[in-house]
Amino acid sequence: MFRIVSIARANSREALSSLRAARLRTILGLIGISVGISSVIAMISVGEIAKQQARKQFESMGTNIVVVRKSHSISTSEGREQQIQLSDVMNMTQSIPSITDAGTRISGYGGFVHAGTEVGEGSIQGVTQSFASVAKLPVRSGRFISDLDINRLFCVVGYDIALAMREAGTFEIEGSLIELEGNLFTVIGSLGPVSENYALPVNIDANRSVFVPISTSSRLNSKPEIDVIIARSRKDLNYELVTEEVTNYFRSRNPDLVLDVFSAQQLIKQMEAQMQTFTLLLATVGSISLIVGGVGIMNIMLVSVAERRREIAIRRALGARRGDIQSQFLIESVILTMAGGLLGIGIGLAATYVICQFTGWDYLVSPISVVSGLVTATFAGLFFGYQPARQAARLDPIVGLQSGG
Amino acid sequence: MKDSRDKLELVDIYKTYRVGPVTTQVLCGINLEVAAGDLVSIMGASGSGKTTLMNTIGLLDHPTSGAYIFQGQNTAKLKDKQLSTLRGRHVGFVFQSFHLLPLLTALENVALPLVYQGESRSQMKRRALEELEKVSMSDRVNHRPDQLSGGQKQRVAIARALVVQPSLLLADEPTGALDPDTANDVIVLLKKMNAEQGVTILIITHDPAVARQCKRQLQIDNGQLIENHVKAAIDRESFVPDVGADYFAQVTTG
Ligand SMILES: Nc1ncnc2c1ncn2[C@@H]1O[C@H](COP(=O)(O)OP(=O)(O)OP(=O)(O)O)[C@@H](O)[C@H]1O
Ligand SMILES: [Mg+2]
Repeated sequence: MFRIVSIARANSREALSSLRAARLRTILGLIGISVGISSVIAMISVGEIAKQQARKQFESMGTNIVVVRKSHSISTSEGREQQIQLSDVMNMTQSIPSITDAGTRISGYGGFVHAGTEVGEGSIQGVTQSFASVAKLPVRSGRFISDLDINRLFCVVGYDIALAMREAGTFEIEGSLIELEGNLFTVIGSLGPVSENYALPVNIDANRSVFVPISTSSRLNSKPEIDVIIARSRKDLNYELVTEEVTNYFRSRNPDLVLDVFSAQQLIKQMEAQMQTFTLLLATVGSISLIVGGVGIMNIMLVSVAERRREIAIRRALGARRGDIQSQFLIESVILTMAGGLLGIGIGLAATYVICQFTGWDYLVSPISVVSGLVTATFAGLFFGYQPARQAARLDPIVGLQSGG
Repeated sequence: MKDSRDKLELVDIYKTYRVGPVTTQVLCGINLEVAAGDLVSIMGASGSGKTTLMNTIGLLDHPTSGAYIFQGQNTAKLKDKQLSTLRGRHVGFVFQSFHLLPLLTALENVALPLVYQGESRSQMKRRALEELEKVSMSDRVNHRPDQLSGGQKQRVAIARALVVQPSLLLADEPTGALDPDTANDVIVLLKKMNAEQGVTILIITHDPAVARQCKRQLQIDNGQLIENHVKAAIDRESFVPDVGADYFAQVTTG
């Protein structure tokens, strides 16, 4: 037992000095492996961060959210003409036991003029009163649209619009006037900042929007269409049950209307599936570069064995067993891949940081990714070092002593 | 130190090399018994099989047929692991071209056989320093081989061969790469080790002057060993008292 420790210790020190002696080859091998390992690191880190990000978004959004949308996969023009009826939305809470709250909107687009200046451009959303609660829109001042504001020219402005209005010189936003597509609206409230949830199958973009009563919007909009319903289910309900109830409800109202019903759990699953595709892609890149790097390492080690045949034979003459020689070269290749691995971990974490900068996700160092990187590096060292080490161990010492190396 | 187990015995050893269609009979029925503590020279023409014989005795090479008894064991039956262990514990090698590892210091080179014995680090260092002291290389401990002269390299190699306190030391033309004076130093050193530590030594040499200094002289010819009995008998009478005086004379002058 003591013998193994002693050999391992002496060998790792000698491995370092012999790797130093073959500097250029060592560096080339390091590059190959580090690209492979950095892919592994980036793959796991980005996956981890994205998952975390999704979880966070749903935590703020609430996991009991249900989104109903006209199906994008309708092919017949007849099917496309079918509309979601506002009255059906308003009746959802009463008719569907699992639904506690439901809001909807009609979405339009336009510019906003205030006090003679353009204060923004974005969506003009005709909404029901519940839209604020189901979409978690924070009312900062005044009040949100009420279902009693039928046909009134009232509006609630999003955070960015309110800011622009203040910049235009208006301090009291409530009560001030804003012109939307040629109609003058009275502002009755403003929203706080809302971060967009990219996991939802619907864009709300509340910060750059103006919200008006849905009745008003149907009157002003040339093509008033309900594009989405956001609802809330009772907590702790099986999502399959909820989606089934919602689907059945709308089918009973209009059998020709084809809808997609999404629950939060379903969306999380869908996102995870998407992440898997992404992970698979990175895994492919990672394993290809690992194989390329590994073959490079194997080549380095084979050359090293060929060049050091005399050294191997001398060691054998001094009492080294085949196993000792094999472990010496295995240790050497593991040291090589571990060094490449450490370099790769650095590169991988840096790449992850860059990806986070682009996507706006919160950067974090995933310990699992670092551990996996080290494990992969070690494994690559053992795997690609095995054949060269075996060759070294099987070398006939007589031949080695006669050779020039 | 001397032990009946330490004697070695070769019985009817044959070694044949086959390269393609050509077969070379190198050893053709070698019979040899070497007593523990003996100092034996082996001479022979180039290509006569001296190195082959030495590698066989050192358990690096395997005879095509015949029995080789080393440390009381028939080595034909042993596996690589057991052969390596026997070799590491009981055999020291000294080569014509020194065969020191170029990246290691003198101290590390000398300690290397102990690595394969599983010695502790402090013990390795202590033993290696001891051996370097015996070959008067204490002041070159941290030199690498390329920073040493030929004679110094061979002295480090002898220290390395003796660091495990082997019962058998095999020297294949240890003076072949050295000038006459340095060569003599090395032979004197080997004789001293033989006399003081009782280690059995086999020296392969082309130099009759070197051979004459050995207790027993052998000649390899046509794959067989011939013994120079008469000469050995004369030498054995006058040899032993000479060793010490010879050695000290060398040390004081060199
Ligand atoms: N690996 C080998 N394969 C084939 N033939 C070999 C091999 N090693 C040695 N020989 C042959 O065996 C014979 C003896 O070689 P050996 O090295 O033992 O000679 P030697 O007596 O040590 O010679 P020298 O004095 O030149 O060192 C030579 O003819 C050589 O060609
Ligand atoms: Mg030879």
